[in-house]
Amino acid sequence: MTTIPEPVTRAARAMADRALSWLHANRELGGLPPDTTETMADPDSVYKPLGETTLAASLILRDGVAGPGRLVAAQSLMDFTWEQFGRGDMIYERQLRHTLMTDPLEMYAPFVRCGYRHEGLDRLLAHRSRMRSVNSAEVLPNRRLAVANAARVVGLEHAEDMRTLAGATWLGARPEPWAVNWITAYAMTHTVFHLTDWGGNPSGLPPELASYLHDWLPVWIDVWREVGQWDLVTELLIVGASLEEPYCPPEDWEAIAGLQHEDGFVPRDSDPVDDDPQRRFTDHQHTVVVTAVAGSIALARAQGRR
Amino acid sequence: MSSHSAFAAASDALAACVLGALDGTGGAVQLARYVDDASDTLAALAAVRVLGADTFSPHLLLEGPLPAQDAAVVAKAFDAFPASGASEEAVVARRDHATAVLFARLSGEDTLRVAEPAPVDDAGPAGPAGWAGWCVRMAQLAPLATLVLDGPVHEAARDGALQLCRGVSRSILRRDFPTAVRLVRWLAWLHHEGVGLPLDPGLVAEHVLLVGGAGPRTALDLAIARHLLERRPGKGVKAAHA
Amino acid sequence: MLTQEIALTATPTQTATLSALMTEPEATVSDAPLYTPEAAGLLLALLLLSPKEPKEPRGK
Repeated sequence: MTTIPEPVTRAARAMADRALSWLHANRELGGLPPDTTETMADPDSVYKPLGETTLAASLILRDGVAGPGRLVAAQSLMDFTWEQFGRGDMIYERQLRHTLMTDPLEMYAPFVRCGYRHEGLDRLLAHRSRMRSVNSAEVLPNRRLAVANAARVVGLEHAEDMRTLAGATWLGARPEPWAVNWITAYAMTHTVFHLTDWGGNPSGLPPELASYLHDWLPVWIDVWREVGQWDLVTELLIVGASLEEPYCPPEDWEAIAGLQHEDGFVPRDSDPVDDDPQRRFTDHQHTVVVTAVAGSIALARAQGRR
Repeated sequence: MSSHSAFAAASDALAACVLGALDGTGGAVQLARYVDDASDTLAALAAVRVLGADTFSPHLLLEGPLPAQDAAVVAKAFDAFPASGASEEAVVARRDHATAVLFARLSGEDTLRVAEPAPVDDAGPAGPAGWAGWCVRMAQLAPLATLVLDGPVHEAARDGALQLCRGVSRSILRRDFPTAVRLVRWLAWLHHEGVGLPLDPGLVAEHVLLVGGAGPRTALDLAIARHLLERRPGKGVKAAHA
Repeated sequence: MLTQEIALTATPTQTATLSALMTEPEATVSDAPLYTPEAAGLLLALLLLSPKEPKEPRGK
């Protein structure tokens, strides 16, 4: 049983529960527009957010640390997104049309984790995993880890060496912590997410990288918290909670929990928040997702589920 | 001109002189000449007080004698701006004491009579200010990061090597290069002391020099850091408590 | 020449100014890295000469 400080578990409980409530209550705002085709002119605006909501719900169900009412809400949320994806048909058609795209696999993985399956997609993904072209498509290192972890979750045969992939990332070089920028910080957080399977397998992170993160996470959390980058800070908190020896600074966790509205909304940064519900969803849904994930992972670690 | 801008300008000018002596381009510092040539004598003496221990860096790092007339100038600076033994500002007291210790070592005279400040209990990185606040204070104590001096502040630096590295990283990311440079002094000092560091001090020093832009005081800090990084450790210099 | 012993003594204000110069605070405003779409996009275009985002293909 790992030691997560009590103020952190208190904060995490509120963060996860409320964020899930908000995602569930506002799920229709994330629905796919009626004329959406599998090609999707702007996947980042709707497709990706649906996938992220699915991810949050899948981790809450996986970790199982939410109360019964919350687990029902998480299940209902997954049913909703599965319907949005045509029970997998849309993901399947997208992969049929675009052989080299990796997002269908990444969208599908959280569903598989929670017991949803699409027969055609299973066969297609298995077929793709045998292709050299698919396996050597040019992709950023942290994205290769995303695909590798998704493939593992879905149960595809082609197995990548995660440690080798880790070595090719920015984090893998254990670089100068003072030479980082905003987007690279996100590349780093995602590297940890995929190596640890979203905090579910802390030992998936090589020990030298965990040690490096123990040294420098406090700096990055401090720097980006000071300039109000709440979304990034919460991702950094997930990273800390995913280490074998967790790094969960109570003051920072309480700060994020303190920013969360009663209804679960969490602003992505310190800029003014739009009043329009659709705009709010578009701008801040990612941060609410991240908050739900952070809370769930910390609670799971605290309860010794990992 | 306000006294703040006058004193700051004089400090820059003196830093440039000291830098010249340190780099070997300007000969000896010639403090007496610097003060005599200054239009605002009080500001010039203030500059000597501000730079404090760093005024002696050429003598300390290049091992040249401190001329008597320069020693007299330092004494004058302490006459004009007496060190308050009961200084509320712990940092000022520490810096003044360090100046006095080095002065005594280099001039052979104990004429400045600055008492050693009482130790501050929660002065370490685990104190209420946290590692970030502690690093800001250590940046203010950068003139202590030099040869010969050793004492409670230096002990805290040895124990807080990781925190100092965090502080440097934080200041660079905030683009607060003057603070970063002062912390680099500490990294350079730790490196000279043989303390293991999770950062490459030479790389950081070069980075803040290139990216941070350098006024004379920053350039002086980095030149002293460079000397500490390149100097072979353990040349048998007897430590003086500060 | 300094030997012309003009006895200079700082006023309390000047002493306070000296103290302030010896205890300079860190920068009050952080200039930490934030999202910069210009930097990412422009560089990418220069280096990779990537093709423009294609429209929906003609005929399926």
